[in-house]
Order: sequence, then C-alpha cells, then structure tokens
Amino acid sequence: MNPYYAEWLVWLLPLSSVLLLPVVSLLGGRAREWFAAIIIFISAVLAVTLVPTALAGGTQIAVSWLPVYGLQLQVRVDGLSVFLALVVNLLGFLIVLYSQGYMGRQAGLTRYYCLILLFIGSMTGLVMAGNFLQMYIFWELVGICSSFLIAFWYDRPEAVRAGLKAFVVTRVGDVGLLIGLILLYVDTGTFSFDALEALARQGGIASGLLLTCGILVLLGAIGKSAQFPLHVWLPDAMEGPSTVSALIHAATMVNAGVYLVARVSPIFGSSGVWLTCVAWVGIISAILGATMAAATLDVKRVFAYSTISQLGLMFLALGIGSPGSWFASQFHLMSQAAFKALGFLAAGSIIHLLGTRNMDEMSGLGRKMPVTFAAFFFSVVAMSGVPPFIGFWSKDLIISELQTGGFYLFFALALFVSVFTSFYAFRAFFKVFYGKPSELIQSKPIHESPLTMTIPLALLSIAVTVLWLLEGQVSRLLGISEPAVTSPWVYAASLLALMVGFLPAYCLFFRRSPEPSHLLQRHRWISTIQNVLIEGYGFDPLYERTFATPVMKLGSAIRTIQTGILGKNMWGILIFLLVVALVVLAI
Amino acid sequence: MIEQQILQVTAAAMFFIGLAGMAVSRNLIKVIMSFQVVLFGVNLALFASGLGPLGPSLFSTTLLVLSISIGASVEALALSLTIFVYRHYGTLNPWEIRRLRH
Repeated sequence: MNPYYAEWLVWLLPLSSVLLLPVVSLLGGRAREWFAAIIIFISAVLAVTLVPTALAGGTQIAVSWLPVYGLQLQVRVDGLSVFLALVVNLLGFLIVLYSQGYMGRQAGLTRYYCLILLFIGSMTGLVMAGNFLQMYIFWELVGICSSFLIAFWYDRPEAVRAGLKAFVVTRVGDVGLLIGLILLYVDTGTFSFDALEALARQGGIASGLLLTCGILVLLGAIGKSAQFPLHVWLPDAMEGPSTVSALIHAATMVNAGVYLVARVSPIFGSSGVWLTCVAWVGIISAILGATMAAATLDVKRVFAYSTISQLGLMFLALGIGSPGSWFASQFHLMSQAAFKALGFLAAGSIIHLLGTRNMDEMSGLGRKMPVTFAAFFFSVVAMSGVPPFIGFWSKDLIISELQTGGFYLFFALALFVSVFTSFYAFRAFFKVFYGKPSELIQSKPIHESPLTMTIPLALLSIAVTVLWLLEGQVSRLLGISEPAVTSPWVYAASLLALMVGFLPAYCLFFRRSPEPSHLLQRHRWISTIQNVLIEGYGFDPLYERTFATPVMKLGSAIRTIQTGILGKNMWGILIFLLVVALVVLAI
Repeated sequence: MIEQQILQVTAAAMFFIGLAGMAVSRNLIKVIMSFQVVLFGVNLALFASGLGPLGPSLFSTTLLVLSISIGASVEALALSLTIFVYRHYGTLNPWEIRRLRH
C-alpha cells in the first residue's frame, strides 16, 4: 500500500478538483490557472511515487462496487499503467502551464480548465482501471472531453463541426468496443483483465469468440487512436486551441487506443489473425498519415497527420506480438508524446503570435523567436529520427524488431514511412522559418512568447534530447528484459531513409532550387498527387456521401413527427404505449 | 400470489391513467401531478415485482427508495421550471407553449 494513497489519488484528485475549480475561479483568473497546474503537478508526483510498487511487480487493489452484479472497483498498479500515468500527468502539467500564456484572457476559461482537469483525470483513471467496464467509463469520459475541447470556440461553426465529427467518428469505434466487452462478459462472467488473461491462456474462451471480441475491441482502439479507416476526425480536430491538440495528440486521447491494444494483447494475442489485423491497420495508417502530412499547408495538420502515422507504427509494433516489439511500441509512445507535444506547443507559439495556421503565411520567420525556433527544430529532428534524439532510438527499436522477427514487407514499408517522415518534418521546418518573409511577417512586430510558454518548450526540448537514456529504466518498469541489441544494418538503413527524405526537403524548401512552384507547373502529375493528398485520399467526401447525408435526411424526415406541442406529443406516447401493452398482452 | 397480481394491475392502471392525464391536461401543474401518478404506478410495479413469500426483497426496496427520492427531485425541478415558464409566457397551457417548434 502506498503511503500517500497514490493509487486512488492520482486519478481521483484531478477528477474531484473539477468540482472545486469553479469555486476557485471566483478568486480570479490567476488562482484558477495555478490551481489547475498545481493539481496536475501533484498527480504527476503521486504517479512518480507509484514507480517503486510497479518495479516490485505491481499490485491490484479491489474494493466492492456493485456487489449485486459481482462487480469490483479495481485499481491496477503495474508497469504499463504507471508508465502511462507518468506520461499523461507530466505532459499534462507542462501543457496546463503553457495554457496560461497561450489562452491569455478570454471567455470560458473556467470551462477550459475544468475540461482539461477532467480530461487528464479520466485518462489517468483509464490506464489505472483493472477491468474492462471501469476502463470503458473513463474511455467515454475521455471521448466527451476531447470533443468538447475541440469545439472550445463554439462560436466558430468549423470548430463545432470538428468537435461533433470527433465525437461521432470515435463513437463508431466505441460501439464496437462496448459490444466486444459485453460479449466477453456474457461468455466468461468477468470484466477483469487478469481473469480474462488467465482464461484465455487456459483456452477457456472459444477461439472464434476470442477473435470476434478482439476485432471489436480493436475497433474501439482504432477509433480512439485515429487509425485507418476511422482516422478522419483527427485532422479536423485541429480547430481546437493548440494546447488541446497537444493534449489530445501527446498525453491523453490517442494514447488510449495504443494503451488498450497493449493491455489486451495478452488476452487476444494468441490469435495470429488478430495480430495480423493490428499490424495491417497500423502500417496502412502509417503510410496514409505520412503521405498526407507531406502535402498539407496547415502547420498543425502536418503534426496531426504525423500523429496518425506514428501511432500506426505503434500498432504495427503491437501487431508483431513479441515482448520486444510490445516494449518498442510503448517506448515509441513515450517518444511520440514528447516530441509531438513539443511540436504542437512550438507551432502554437507561432500561431498565438501570427493568428494563422497556414505555413505559406508564416514563411521566413527566421530566428526572431529563438526559443520557439529551437523547440520546433528539436521536435522536427526528434520526429524524423535524427540521432541522438529520442525519435531515432524508438523508431529504430520498432524497425529492428521488424527485421529480427523476419517481417521484411513491414520492414520495407516502415522504412518508406521513415522517408516520408523526415521529408514532411523538414518541409514544415524550412517552410515556416526560411524562405522569403511573407507579408504577414513583415507587417507584424515579431517577439518571443511569454515565459509560461517558453519554459515548457525548453523543458520538452531537453526531454526529447535526453529521454533515450532512460530506455533501460523504462524497459525495467514495463517488466521487459533489456531489448536485443539493434544490428548496425538497421541503423544504417534508417539513417539512409532519413537522408533520402531530408535531401528533397532541403533542396525544395531551403535552397529553393528547383523552386517548388516551378516544379508543380512543369510536372502536372505532381500537383495531381498533391491534390489527392490534400483532399486526404477522399475519405471525407466518401463518408459524407455514404453515412452523414443519409442520416441527416432521415433525421429531418423524423423531425416532422416532432410537433413541439407537449399535449400532442403526450397523445402520441399514450397511443404508442397502449399499442405496445396490447401487443404484449396478446402474446 | 393474488396480491401481487392485484398490485400489478393497479400499477398498470395508474400508469395509463397518469399518461392520459398528461395528454389531456391544459395546465402544466396538472401535467406534473399526472406525471407523479405515472411515477407512482411505476414504483408500485417495482414493489410488486419484488414481492416474495417473505415480503418485499431487500433489493427491490432499495431501488424503490432510490426511485422515490429521484421522483421527488424531478418534481421539484419540474415545478421550478413551471414558474419560469409562467413568468416567460404568462400562461401554463401546454398547447400554447410552442417555442420548441422552432
């Protein structure tokens, strides 16, 4: 038992302070901001105090919840849950700190901080949950918080639309998850991860059912982690504030899917078909994300597509199914969280100043914002996998697992993704900071952001530089023996991929020879490809035509029944219930 | 178990009488009163279904107490809303309150 009751407080503290925050905000804006930051900081410290327990093998605390149904509230403290709680709360703290400068003084900040606290608290609760049902409750809380935060500026129709889209698209996956876990419960009578794992190992669950449930649960993870084919919500989610994007992409929302697959892989991992599905979903998303990121003009969308791609690599690693690749996926999760949070916060710093997200309007920013420049640079080099930054080690861990496992097709495709990763990362960097200064840059006074924004940037920059030193500690925390030594050939291949992606970005967007616009004019096919990529391969219009429009039409058809007069509606209800009663009696 | 059946039939009757009252009333206060009749019908059905040879079961009684307290708070909320409706529209006739249409 932890002396600080950290198992409970680490998630109950942020959740309960959601209720306290409106009271604190009566004291003024600063009190509210520091209250939120301090609460998350305490949660992060509590998560740190759980590390010794997790290193000692972990524990699980259970208290009676709904005894009638034999349900227990289970708090699980093991390597995976503590590791994610650390990532969520440490990054959450930096992002809340950054929010002080970024959000400034505007209406609705109490709502903002309430939702942020609820978001971080639910995510921590999600990873600490010891059974499917408890996890599902937090899963839904995370979903609703994210859609509210995306639609934070609710007077902008695009933001409301994006929030709704995120909610509806993830709902498709969530329904799958819900059906999957109900099926499991009906068959086995338990929601607990431990019990299900033991049952699956003994062969107590029929393999057909196990595969069906596995696919349904995977559908939930696909929705949350914005994987193919449910990735469409993530790019639109950029309508929210940059801090929210950073939180969604780095600390909370999207990691939930990867966490879920990592958590259930001992249960469903015995099925080869399931693993193959996970791997293919991952590699397809990785390729889609990386190619789309190479064409977009919106600086936040570059990072958004990059998230889809990096999460795809994590799914791919989870689909390999060996302990080493399982560790690689989690290590890449941490690495992605660090450099993506840094990227979003650095981009946010520029957007905060310029008020635009278009990279063409940002071009030629130069070094007028030194800390932001450095932070963006660190994020880009870590993302594209330049040694010795963390992205290099974590990505190579995945690639080397693919190579040692003999998955040469995936190995080649992952290298292809690497090429595109370094291309789009450096493209964004050169486009924003170099080139001819745009009119916007020339017309506005450029200055560095305030300290509350630059300090998190500096801390995260240090993190992406030195976090790889912790690889051994992380693997011990996760209970995986030291990963196998990566062969030098893998390093060589990944460095080659890095260079192959970097050189075109350098020529096109730094040296400007050949000039990109000339190239587009001369070769029609390039601009055709570019348009397809900017359109996101046409997934949005496809879903719009096949799902959204029919549902809207059906809705407006049903709307005519709704008279809006209470008396009439009551007559309708009365007649309906009488008919139902008569039918039941007749049977 | 003749008592149980009597109770169930009464509960069903209360439910439909309440619903009919909600449909025909031209006063929101009466609608709320009819709604309470519906609710008590449901509570009675809950009580009747938990009735065994040894009296009501503990589980159904627990749910019943919960249901009654929720019903009371719903009623309080509905009455306070009614006051707002009256201030806003100057009428309590549900057939004339048509803002939901738009």
